[in-house]
Amino acid sequence: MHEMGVVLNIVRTAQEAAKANHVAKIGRLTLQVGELTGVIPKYVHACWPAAIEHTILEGANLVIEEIEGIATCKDCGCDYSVLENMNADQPVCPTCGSKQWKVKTGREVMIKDIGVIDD
Amino acid sequence: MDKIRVIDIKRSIFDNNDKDAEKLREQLKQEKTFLLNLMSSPGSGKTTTLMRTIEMLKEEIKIGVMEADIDSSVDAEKIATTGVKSIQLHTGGMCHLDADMTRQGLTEFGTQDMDLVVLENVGNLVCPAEFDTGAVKNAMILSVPEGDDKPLKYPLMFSICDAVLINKIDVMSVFDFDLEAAKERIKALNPKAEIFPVSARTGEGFEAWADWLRKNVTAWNE
Repeated sequence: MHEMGVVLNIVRTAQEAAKANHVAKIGRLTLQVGELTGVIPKYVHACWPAAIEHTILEGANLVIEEIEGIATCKDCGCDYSVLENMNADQPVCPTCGSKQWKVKTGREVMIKDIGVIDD
Repeated sequence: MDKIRVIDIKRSIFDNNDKDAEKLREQLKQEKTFLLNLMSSPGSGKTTTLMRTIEMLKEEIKIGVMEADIDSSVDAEKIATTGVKSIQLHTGGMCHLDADMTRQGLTEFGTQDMDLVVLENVGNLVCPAEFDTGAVKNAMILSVPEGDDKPLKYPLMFSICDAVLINKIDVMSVFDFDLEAAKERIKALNPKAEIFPVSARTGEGFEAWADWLRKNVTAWNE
């Protein structure tokens, strides 16, 4: 399962961040997931409880923010939504019709922030 | 009520793996071992392609094969008939290999004296694309029956590959496969990709692919 590998990396990254910030317990974690990744938020939520057991994240709430997939047209330079401009499985620039594009946003899987409870 | 303090992190969860991958590449450079990460869908002809590639290069390059699969698609016994060493890695149900798992596999395998190690990644086109294994180059096999529109469906995979083999070109007419359209779609995603139309069955196109691999292995191991 793809999301399990991703979640284990979240735990590892969060543990390092907690250590660097001298935090003993994390109560909440905000994850940003790009819609052009293979990571499905629903399945991240599904394997979250098992992955955080006996870690610094045990019992922590997971908040997922989706990041829209935005492409930049290589011909006219405008930015557009990849998923809203699909034509026959291919993104097409709504301004000039070009099929040449590069990803601007939407491939991230990032820990945005953590919420800690101070004693 | 407890007060929650928010700490900004803004860190990609792939950071750790990317660092592990860089470290592994440095190690491979020192050991003069070229690691090729080979990816494909199940049924793309990976075993036959790999065997033909090994037969062409084994006299000049010391090769090892590291298979990683949930269910192995490369037949270990078949690979053994070519006389090269192989090892089977178990991913424990995980759909991809990360850099740390790759490093552990290489250590177990004992690859220091090998010139080329082919890592046969788990057979799918989604997950392996998101995790850098630490390989020197990424290659993938797209087979004709999968269709010329495959690059559109798996854009990330095609955008990270240095070499794309289009296999089973001997049956192109049967499947109505448009080679030029496939090439154009791959180039749109990844202008730098080298594309090799081949037939692992007849051997067509293998000279160019073997040359590319030989050239890259030699340059890395200098």
